[in-house]
Amino acid sequence: MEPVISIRNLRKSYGDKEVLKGISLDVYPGQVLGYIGPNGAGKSTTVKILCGLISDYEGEVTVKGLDLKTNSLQIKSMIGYVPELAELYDVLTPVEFLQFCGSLYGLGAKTGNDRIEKMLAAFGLQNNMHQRMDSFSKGMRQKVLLASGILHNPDIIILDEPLSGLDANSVIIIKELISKLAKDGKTIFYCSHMMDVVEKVSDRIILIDNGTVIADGSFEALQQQQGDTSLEQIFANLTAKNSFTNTADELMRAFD
Amino acid sequence: MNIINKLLLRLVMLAAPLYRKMGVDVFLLEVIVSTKLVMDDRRPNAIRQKKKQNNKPVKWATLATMFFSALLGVFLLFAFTVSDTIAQMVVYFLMYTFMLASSLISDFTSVLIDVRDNYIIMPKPVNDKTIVVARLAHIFVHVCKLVLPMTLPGIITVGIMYNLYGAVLFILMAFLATLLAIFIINAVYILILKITTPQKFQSIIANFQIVFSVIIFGGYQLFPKISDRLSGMLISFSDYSLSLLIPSYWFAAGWKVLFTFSGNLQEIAGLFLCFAFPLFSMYVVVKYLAPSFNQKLSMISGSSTDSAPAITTTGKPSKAASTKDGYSRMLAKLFTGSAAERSSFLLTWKMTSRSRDFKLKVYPSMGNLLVLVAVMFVNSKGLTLENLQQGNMKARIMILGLIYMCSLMVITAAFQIAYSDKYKASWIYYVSPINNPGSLISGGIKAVLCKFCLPMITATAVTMLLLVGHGVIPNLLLGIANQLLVVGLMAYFGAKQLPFSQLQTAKQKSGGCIRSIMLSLIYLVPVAAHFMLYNFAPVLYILAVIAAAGAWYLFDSVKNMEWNKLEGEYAAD
Repeated sequence: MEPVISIRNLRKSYGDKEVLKGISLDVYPGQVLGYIGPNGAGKSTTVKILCGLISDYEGEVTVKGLDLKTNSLQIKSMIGYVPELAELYDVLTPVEFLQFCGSLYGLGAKTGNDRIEKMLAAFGLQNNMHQRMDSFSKGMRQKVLLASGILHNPDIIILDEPLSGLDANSVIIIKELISKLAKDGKTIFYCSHMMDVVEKVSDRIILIDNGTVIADGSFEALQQQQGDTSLEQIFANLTAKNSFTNTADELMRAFD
Repeated sequence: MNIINKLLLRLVMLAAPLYRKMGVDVFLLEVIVSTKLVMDDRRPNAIRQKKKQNNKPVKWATLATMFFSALLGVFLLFAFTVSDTIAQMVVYFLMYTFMLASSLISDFTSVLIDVRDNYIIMPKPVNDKTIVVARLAHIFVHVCKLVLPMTLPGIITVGIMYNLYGAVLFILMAFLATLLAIFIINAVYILILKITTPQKFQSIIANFQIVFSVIIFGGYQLFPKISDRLSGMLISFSDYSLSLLIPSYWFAAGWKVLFTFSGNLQEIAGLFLCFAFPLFSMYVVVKYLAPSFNQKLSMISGSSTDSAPAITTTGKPSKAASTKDGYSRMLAKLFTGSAAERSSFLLTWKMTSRSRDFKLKVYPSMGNLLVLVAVMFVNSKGLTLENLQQGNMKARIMILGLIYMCSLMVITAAFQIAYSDKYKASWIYYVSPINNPGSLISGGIKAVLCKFCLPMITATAVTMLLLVGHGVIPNLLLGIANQLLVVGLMAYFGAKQLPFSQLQTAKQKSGGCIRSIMLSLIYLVPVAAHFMLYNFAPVLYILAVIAAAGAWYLFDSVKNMEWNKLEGEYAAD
């Protein structure tokens, strides 16, 4: 099968600090990719490169056979991005904001409005459709943001910490949604620090640390390598510099 | 969208075929610009805002902005007091370009560069050129809202002074000057982005804005005083080839040539430049500078969170930092009592140098006061050292003006410390076991006094002792004591909010306006008394002691203020 995203030896530096040190990766249609790593590992940088936010990188990134450097617009229209911080123009109403996003993806007004209405209703925001979002809670904003990421029916969906601020019921909805989208042949790039969620939603986990991939495989495969334990523990085994017990001890000793 | 925005948007889209030729997606352009305009109209602005509690969202912010810039336009009519035609135009367009650039530079960071664009527009399939042209178009519309009302008084004046044709030409020149102002600012931004890291960008722009606004204010204060001399000097603008270096001369010359259908070689060169330069600069920005601009821009908010800041030294904090802290720590020890007061003092000290928000709101007004001092000196022709020492009326005004200036400077600052963009961080005050929150307030106010007032008052005192001699000492002492009393009074009645704990809204800003009127009234009494008693040294000493005691009492009361006297609670959301 053709990979939908193919990354070869991806490097990126900020000044003399190398954030990505040669990442290579093939992602196939229908995969839910859990992309995890400690703070500063290079997760967001990878995502930003993929979304076209950063273009001065080294290495090769192709999406559906198209080179990201030369075909960034075509690639952007195939991707739906849900950024980590709830960044939206909050003086707009959800409908206005989503209409704006839809237009940027070239979505016709009729189809767009139809989808917007259905999605907002499904998210339980039908009574808030025409309210300005500056009064919205974090969860409500996150729902609008999620809608903006899938509105144009993209083949690849990049979610950066998509569950933040959502209540327990909404979390279940999103998890269901992710697996349904994947069944539909869509590729999901799921970045998160919540290991228990990543463990459940993703069928392949990429762990990066210090700008390199240090583990790649299904949760079961990782368990076989690292022992039958939780993803949280595997993550700790692979990325922690010293044992947590020691750290906790040190913290306790600070009182002395 | 209101009618003005709609009309302006239509105006922008008139050039659609040109945009298409440049490779811009015209449909997306319209979508982006119109969305931006809708947002502009809802953005609360300082001049006219409805209270949030009313649940009446902001609309028509545009109209308020336009009204305000019409007022500014009336000020520009100054230029027509100069007698020579070319000089009139040179002065007008100079002031106009400068004024426009200055309002733009502050709007750029707040309105026109929205970092959220990076997450919302950049990942969408919109090409760079469209984004850039959309930004330029947005700037253009925004500028029109400033420019149209601002130039209107000038256009009418030219129409009356010359004729209708002159007014039409004037509109054309104003348009070109506007283009120039936009692109100068844009180029400056791009340049700054090229030289520095995006992380530093915003604070550099902020400093730039501060300097700029002070220059403008200074220009306004000084221009009327030198305009008489100018009109004698500038009549022969076209005789100096160096005037070609002044952009506003191009517009003046261009206007003159087109109006009279005559002109010397240099004026024709000006005519050429006034068309060529703005158009050329537009081309350069769109073609060469813009693509990298967007890339850099995407990093302003972006990468800072990704990569942990570089660790400078391992282990102990470097020595430089601790000696730098030494001065503020020493003052804190000297002037504060409790631990809470001291920590608030130190926090305020640091925040006032580091918070961009604070600097933008306070530093320009401080700079303006310094300008006023300079103007006072310029105005004081015929004031000699002897006069100063004798203490005649003029000298009294001068000396007292200088002394009392010090506290005027800190008053904005003292009230501004209650506000911060990061007001939510004030949870710390509420969860920590503090008995008298007043000590946090007094610590903050003392920090502001020490940081801004102390150096000023020291400098003033030293200068005066050197110039006027020891005779000025009682006046200095009473001046200082009075100012402490006034600040104490204000703190006692006005400062009921913890430092950096409130989000500033327009409502509070307008409250500030009323407050400053009240303030001048409070000031009036001690200053007037001081003025009349200027030469009675013993009385001055007694009054100084009384005022100092009063100030002491007031500060002490503020320090002991309890939780229930506090206004404004923790603003979680």
